[in-house]
Amino acid sequence: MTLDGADILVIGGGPAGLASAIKAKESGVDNVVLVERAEQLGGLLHQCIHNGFGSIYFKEDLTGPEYARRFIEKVQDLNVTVLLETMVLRITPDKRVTLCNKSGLVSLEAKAVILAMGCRERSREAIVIPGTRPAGVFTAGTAQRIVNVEGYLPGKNIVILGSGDVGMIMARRLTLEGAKVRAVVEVLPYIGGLIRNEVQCLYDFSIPVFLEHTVTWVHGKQRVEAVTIAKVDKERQPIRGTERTIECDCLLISVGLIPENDLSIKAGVKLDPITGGPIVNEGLETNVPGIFVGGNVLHVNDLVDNVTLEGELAGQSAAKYVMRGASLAKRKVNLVAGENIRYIVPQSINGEKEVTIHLRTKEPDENCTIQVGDILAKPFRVVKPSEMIALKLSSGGLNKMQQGATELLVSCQRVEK
Amino acid sequence: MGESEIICILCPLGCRVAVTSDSSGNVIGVAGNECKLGEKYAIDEYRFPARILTATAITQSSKRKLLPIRSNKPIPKGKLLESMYHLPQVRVKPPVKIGQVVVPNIANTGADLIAADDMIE
Repeated sequence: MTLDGADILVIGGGPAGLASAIKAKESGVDNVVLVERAEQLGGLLHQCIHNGFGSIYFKEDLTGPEYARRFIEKVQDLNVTVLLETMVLRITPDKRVTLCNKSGLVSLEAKAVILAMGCRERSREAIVIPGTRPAGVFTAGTAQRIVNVEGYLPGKNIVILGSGDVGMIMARRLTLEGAKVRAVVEVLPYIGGLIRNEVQCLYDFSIPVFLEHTVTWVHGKQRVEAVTIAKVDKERQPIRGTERTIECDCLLISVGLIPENDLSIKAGVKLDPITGGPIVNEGLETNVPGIFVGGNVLHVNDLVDNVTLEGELAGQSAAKYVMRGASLAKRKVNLVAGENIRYIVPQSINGEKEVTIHLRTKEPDENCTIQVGDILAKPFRVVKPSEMIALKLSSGGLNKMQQGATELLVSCQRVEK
Repeated sequence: MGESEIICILCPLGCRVAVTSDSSGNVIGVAGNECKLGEKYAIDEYRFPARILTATAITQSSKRKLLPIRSNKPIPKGKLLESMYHLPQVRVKPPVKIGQVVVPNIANTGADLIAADDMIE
């Protein structure tokens, strides 16, 4: 493999990486290299065969493979250098990147790096479910690959722990393929994913939902034979005497996603303990100059459309950085999460030109106002942690900020009637 | 005369909308929706609950076992499972372009199942 170096090296060929490679190239940077460890581009979209993708970006209702195909074709048309079946082993803070593939190890220098590694699933081990260790326990995403790519059923009688979008989508998919979904078990008092999935994946197929319940035991020696579930109290602890046992041969775990940042940490990138992703400015640049980030490696998004938009922004910023040869770091205003705000991305803004920020609340609430310092107050009929909120801060509003202000408090408060 | 509860999926609010109808199934009342869009959604969903069906078809490719497929228009909710029963017999031979019809008029719904990805070989 001969590669002298890259102006921009993009790590990950999923939706974020595809969008950032396209945008970097379109912004005028010639030498863009896209590295993907799988044998094809597209990332997880290949196994997400359901529809619901692209409603914002394309104003169309596409399936995952259809959505991916549009960007893959663009990457090919633009002659981005694509390295498939290639793993990035290390990035140093001065952006030397070590790659590994069938032709061996290669080390190359990049002027800018875009992190687009996506996220991984929390597993049974991550949440510690007691019981035996039989076959038949999978994460929902693994089950999705088994059904949609490999063509097998992971089980015939299924219990799903967690009501995130992947879990609900698998409940529908497995039902359509002839399996029986015996229960969806959610520890919170409400469904974790989007309302359309709650209706179209669970209620459409009359799948039993157990809110404020958790799995307390996995039974079976060679193969899962049953799980015990129990109601939980306010501290999410199982309540004695409420246990019931559900016979099943498969337990799917759908209890959240974690940004995949092992490479970022080695490169000296500082992470936000709440998002699990890098701390970024409004150009999605990390604390390491020239390292940019977008998509689910930055924070877990609910919609791929937003992953694409973040990838584009990272690609644009990286192109500017390469063409200028320096960071754009100017004035910095930190966004501080106040009442009922879980996190805000980016963590800081320049405070000069219009910018869109994304945030999630800690708890669901109704009739509230989201306040950004004294520059914006926007009413919301309802807020939910599962539905990310985008807020546009206008330059006019930002101009109202006090000279020399270094902080903006963001809070979500109930409006008293 | 009847009342159906429809959960609106247009925004995170998820209004529970009650649609009442007369004996011949005509909508005579809609209540519980917080906005106009919700009223339209509830009536449409009451009259014709239909979904895009997505699934996979077995291929004759040596490279991939399954091809993702989708319906080119919504299929009545009650016909989704029936549509699935037709799939085990289907074999898709490459090459296939995205959008190409794989199963025409699935389960007599008037909808075609089409390829949701290219398959070259």
